[in-house]
Amino acid sequence: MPIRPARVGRVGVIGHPVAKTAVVAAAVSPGRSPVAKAAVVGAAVSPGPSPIAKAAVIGAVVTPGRRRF
Amino acid sequence: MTDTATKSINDLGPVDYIVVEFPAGASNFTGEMAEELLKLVDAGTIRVIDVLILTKNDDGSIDAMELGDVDELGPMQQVEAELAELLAEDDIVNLAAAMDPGSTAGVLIWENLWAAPFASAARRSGGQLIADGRIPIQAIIASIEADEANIEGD
Repeated sequence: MPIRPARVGRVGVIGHPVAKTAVVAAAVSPGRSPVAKAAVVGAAVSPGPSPIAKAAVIGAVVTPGRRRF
Repeated sequence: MTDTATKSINDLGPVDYIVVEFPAGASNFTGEMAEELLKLVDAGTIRVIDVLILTKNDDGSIDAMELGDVDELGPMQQVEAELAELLAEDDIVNLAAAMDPGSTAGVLIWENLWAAPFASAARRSGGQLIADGRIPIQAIIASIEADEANIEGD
């Protein structure tokens, strides 16, 4: 690796091997309806026919005052 | 001495990193990424601390390239001149663990200048950061769509 000498022999800041981001794993974590979430994650992370509709729900979720429990 | 060296640790904003992977044959570098990054720098939103370009070979070995070794940096020269070379050799190995063989990735480390005043105020107030993170947009979409599916199923 042709990196600068200053990088060699120093203490790192990352600390551990990084895992590839697992969006699906996070989205299907235990919740009210894991089966439903698993199903829609597949749709959400793949090219879909309704990007405008998806953009709309993002707008809805960041609307002030909305809380879901 | 640079501004970076004289900056108090108490004034430092949160530092984040990303690893953006480009699968073999899928990269399409038009300069758009650099242009958007420079906008954030010029606006004082972020300070770029370190940049590396990593390649993971099919045998799992890793090649790392410094930003300064890239031909024709263009406007990115201003960013390269201010880099702090924070990442160590061990970090390169750890970050590359997320990469698929045959891919190339850009590693970006930056300070969130926009958050620094608030973070400093929180520290001065006795607050301690005990958790932080990023919620993937896909997870938000999935959550909302699951709720909508539940409503329709009721």
